[in-house]
Amino acid sequence: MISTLYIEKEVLEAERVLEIRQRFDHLETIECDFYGEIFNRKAQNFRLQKKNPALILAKKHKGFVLPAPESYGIGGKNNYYFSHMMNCIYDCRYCFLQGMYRSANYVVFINYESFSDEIRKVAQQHAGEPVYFFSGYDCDSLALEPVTKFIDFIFPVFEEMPDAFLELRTKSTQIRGLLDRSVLDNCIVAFSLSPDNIVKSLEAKTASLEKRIEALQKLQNKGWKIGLRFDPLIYCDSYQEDYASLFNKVFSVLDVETIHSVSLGGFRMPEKFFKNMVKLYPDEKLFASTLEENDGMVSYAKELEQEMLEYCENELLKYLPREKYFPCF
Amino acid sequence: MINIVCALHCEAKPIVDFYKLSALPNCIFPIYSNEQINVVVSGIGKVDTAAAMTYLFVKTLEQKNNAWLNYGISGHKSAELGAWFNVNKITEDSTGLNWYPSRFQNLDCLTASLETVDNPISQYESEKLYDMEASAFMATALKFSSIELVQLMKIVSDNEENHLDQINKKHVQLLLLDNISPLISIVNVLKEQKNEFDNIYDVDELYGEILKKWHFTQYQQKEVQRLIQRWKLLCNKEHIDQLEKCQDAKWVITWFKGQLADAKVAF
Repeated sequence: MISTLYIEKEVLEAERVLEIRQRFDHLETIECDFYGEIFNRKAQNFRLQKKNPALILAKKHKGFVLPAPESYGIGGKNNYYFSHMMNCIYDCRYCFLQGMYRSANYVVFINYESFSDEIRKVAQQHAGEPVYFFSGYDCDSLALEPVTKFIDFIFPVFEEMPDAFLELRTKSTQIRGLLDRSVLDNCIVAFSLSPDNIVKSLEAKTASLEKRIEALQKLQNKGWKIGLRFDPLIYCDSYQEDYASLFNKVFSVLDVETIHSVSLGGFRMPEKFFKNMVKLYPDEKLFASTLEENDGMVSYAKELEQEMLEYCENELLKYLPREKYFPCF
Repeated sequence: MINIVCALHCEAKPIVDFYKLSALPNCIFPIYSNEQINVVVSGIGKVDTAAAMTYLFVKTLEQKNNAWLNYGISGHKSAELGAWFNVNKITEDSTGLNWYPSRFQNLDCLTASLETVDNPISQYESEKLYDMEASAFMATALKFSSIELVQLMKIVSDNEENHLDQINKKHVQLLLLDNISPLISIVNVLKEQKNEFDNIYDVDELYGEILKKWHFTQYQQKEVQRLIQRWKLLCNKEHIDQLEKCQDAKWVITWFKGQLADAKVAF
């Protein structure tokens, strides 16, 4: 999976780096001055790199915790996100990362303490109010946990702040760590879910829909708050049957009573990212569909998007109460 | 196409002979060529390297995203003479800038970092390769191609025990002839990588035919290229003969748009 290890000079001797290096001692290891020398350079092809990505261990210097986009939320008004890692081990064709980043290499920022300090600071700024921190914006929250052990590190921080909520967004079934420990009440494990045909066609390297539902069930049985994220909605001619079947599958297994939140979102992408993605994948059917640009964002044609969202919303609300539903559009 | 850049004739000769390349006439920088490989002999130093590469790029009709390989002799503090290295990092001594070529798992070769210096050195400060071209090679290659298609191989010609002064043409040729297989391996790896690239990004045949038949503006060319890609993915190809009735570029574009309006999307 990982082809090469690059390590910033500054963090060569950091304990966390030495632990990760031990795990990958069979890999070629190259010292670099700054991760951007590799990650941000021009003249690289995300698609080709995705076949043999490298892992870059680096130190982040700023922007540890950022305000979440306006439409993003699961009931709170104070919403933030953070990314201890850039790029995802999965290869979902609709993902904005392939349009945003020049490189497909993974970057792990090993100064976790800087993230936790900032999370505490932001939580303190909203003392007395719930504040939500979303993980999994630039990567999958759980997929590389056996290597990074970031969740393991950050949980105690949230244990001491019951009003600070952590969402772990994932498509991974790396839930052993969660099943083996006591439940964190202010943590929501949120799975991204798509119909089976979409998972197989567009979500390369991810756990199957069945495996994800199984993981959700195990988490729910253990007492974890779980979230369902039907996002982005992907159009195909059979979308209505596909999504109806998906909801049926999911809600026939999971206990709606103890689901924390369910969200629905459309396929939306900044135009610049979309253009990059089309250049990389000119042979991708998803990008060949009826997509249009409005105000710098690419999405399905307005009428089609509206139709899909309305249909899926109506179907969803057959299974769950409105107070658990959070549309992201 | 693989474009190979060497500083010296004696470096180029073994590859020219192995691949049976022919000299192109009347070239400012010597170029040897067959259908798949070009070799340009640049001369020593960064300026000549950049100039030779640009010359080759223009001579090959400015084809972007070809594979580029720099190989040649280099110094190393302690490595054995004749040892081949695939370069994993280049540092330019004068600026401190770094480049990091892509790594290939299936290359059975030692790897090392390299420092590009402006003058021949007599003291090897650390355990890395030393040359006078690599940084310019990288900087220039990345103007014309993607980093996944760019590689460097160096053979050690001098070290602390065997000084640079002892190198001559014959010595270099012997070093290379003694073990050319790492070079052939990297050329094969680059060929594979280039093939993969071309399979994705090569200009569509239909697009080429359409451009020959009707006149398109620059904007229309981009538009119809994308319409053809989408049409091939989503539409029934049976009605392609209807294109024959089109009288101009606008008509062709309208035809494809019409086909796409009825497209089915299934995953």
